[in-house]
Amino acid sequence: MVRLYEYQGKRLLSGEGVGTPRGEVCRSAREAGDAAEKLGGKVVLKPQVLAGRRGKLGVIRFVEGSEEAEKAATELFETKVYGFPVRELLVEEYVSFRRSFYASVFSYQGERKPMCIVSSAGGIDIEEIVSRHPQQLVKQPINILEGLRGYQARNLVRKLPEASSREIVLIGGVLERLYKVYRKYDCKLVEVNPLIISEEGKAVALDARIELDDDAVPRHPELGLRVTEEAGRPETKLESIARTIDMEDPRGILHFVQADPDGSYSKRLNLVPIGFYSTGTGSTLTAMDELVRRGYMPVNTTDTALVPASKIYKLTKVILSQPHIQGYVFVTPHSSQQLLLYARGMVKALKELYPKTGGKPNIPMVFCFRGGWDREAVELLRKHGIMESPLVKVLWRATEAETAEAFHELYKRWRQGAR
Amino acid sequence: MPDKLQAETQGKGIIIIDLDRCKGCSSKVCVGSCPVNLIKIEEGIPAFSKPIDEVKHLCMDCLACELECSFQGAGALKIVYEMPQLRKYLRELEEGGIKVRGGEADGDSDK
Repeated sequence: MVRLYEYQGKRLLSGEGVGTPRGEVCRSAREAGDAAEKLGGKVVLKPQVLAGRRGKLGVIRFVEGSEEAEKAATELFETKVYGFPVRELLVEEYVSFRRSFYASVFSYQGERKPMCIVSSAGGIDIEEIVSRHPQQLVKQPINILEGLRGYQARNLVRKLPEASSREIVLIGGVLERLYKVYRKYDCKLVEVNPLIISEEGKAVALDARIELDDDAVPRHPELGLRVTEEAGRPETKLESIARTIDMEDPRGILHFVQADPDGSYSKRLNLVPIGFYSTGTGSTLTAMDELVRRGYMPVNTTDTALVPASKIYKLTKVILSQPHIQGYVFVTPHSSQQLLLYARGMVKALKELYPKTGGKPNIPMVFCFRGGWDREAVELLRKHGIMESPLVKVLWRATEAETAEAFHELYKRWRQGAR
Repeated sequence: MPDKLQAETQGKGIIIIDLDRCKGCSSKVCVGSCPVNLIKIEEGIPAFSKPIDEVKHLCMDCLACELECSFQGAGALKIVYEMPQLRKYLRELEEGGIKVRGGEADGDSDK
């Protein structure tokens, strides 16, 4: 899931003709003050973090004039929102409104179709209101071959109780445009909450939440997206290198995120930093838990699916380029992927990284293969002599706990012996 | 006769076959290892069975040929994937006096 910041989402909406408040993205309190002066009157300061429910947390500030804006911005830049530091503020004109709605278009797995939802209970606590008054929410699946026609959108809004004819036209028009954004940018979710009818009688999106399909990111270079933005920080050098692997060769899915880029977290918790390659979230989390409880910190996470061996080779090189790691663990779930390709990619990387020893590493490494072609994968590591290394353990169909335990044993021996 | 064969792969790698080495290889394991049959033997040495332009679209970067050649063959076939940004990153670390364990013993082999 690639989620856009509110201001990025609003740009896409506004590009398709959805009304949004005038505003500016500010990176300092001074800029926020200047923006407030330029906008004039009452303004809203909104921290740009990838988390919802900011209103409930009280980090959305309403102020007037540059002085007040600068003061509030100073406070907000020092605040963490759900653990994310605030690096950007969206300063927008305040728009007063008569009615607020909720509108969204998203990929609905239940019917394998895009689904359009609109509700007259927009704003915070919409879930609660709708659970008490279900008639305030209406939805309609969309036939992707036909798209969402104007009359269909208006008919949907008409089902809401107390929707005026003006509202039916305005909100219906916005729904059509949300669907356009959804299709144009390969989104999984386009959500506006609240979508308001202003005092002047215009439909305005006061917030925007847009999520793109991961696989669509390379198709939209114009958005300048970086998948690791989900981590709420700029991407590291190695993350950016890993991203170029995908850009050069878009086959399959490849993710690489550094959890502890400089090793400081491991150090603070007295954990041994290790490089980590796993596929599948469940197996990744389980293996990480098992490793952490034994005193090891996987300093990165990965996920790859249906990638060619060359990308596995490149990613292995990236993982092993993390300077502070003192070990490496590879583990898969009961994978339907062709694990022989994984073995090939890793053997090639090891042979290149350790040419003098024919691929035998200088740090403890555990490889656990489970799934398609797992026998062949183990056999390949044996054939190429990697398994002969006293620092390597190759497991076949072991559990995450067994994998972690094997690494623990190997690491202890390595520390005790000639390091 | 050329002493090297080269072709690009789908994944922007370069297949390089050192034909001099192939002359001494009796296994010719590269031929059977390719799942899409891109290599054949011509006058006793490997040749691409398809025009170079097609190899680029057909090679799946499965690395089978390279690993089999290094194991059973003469170690004549390599697929080179340039990673200039990674090389630069490692060089910067090295200049800063930071050791990279993953390649510490012998340094970055991209060189």
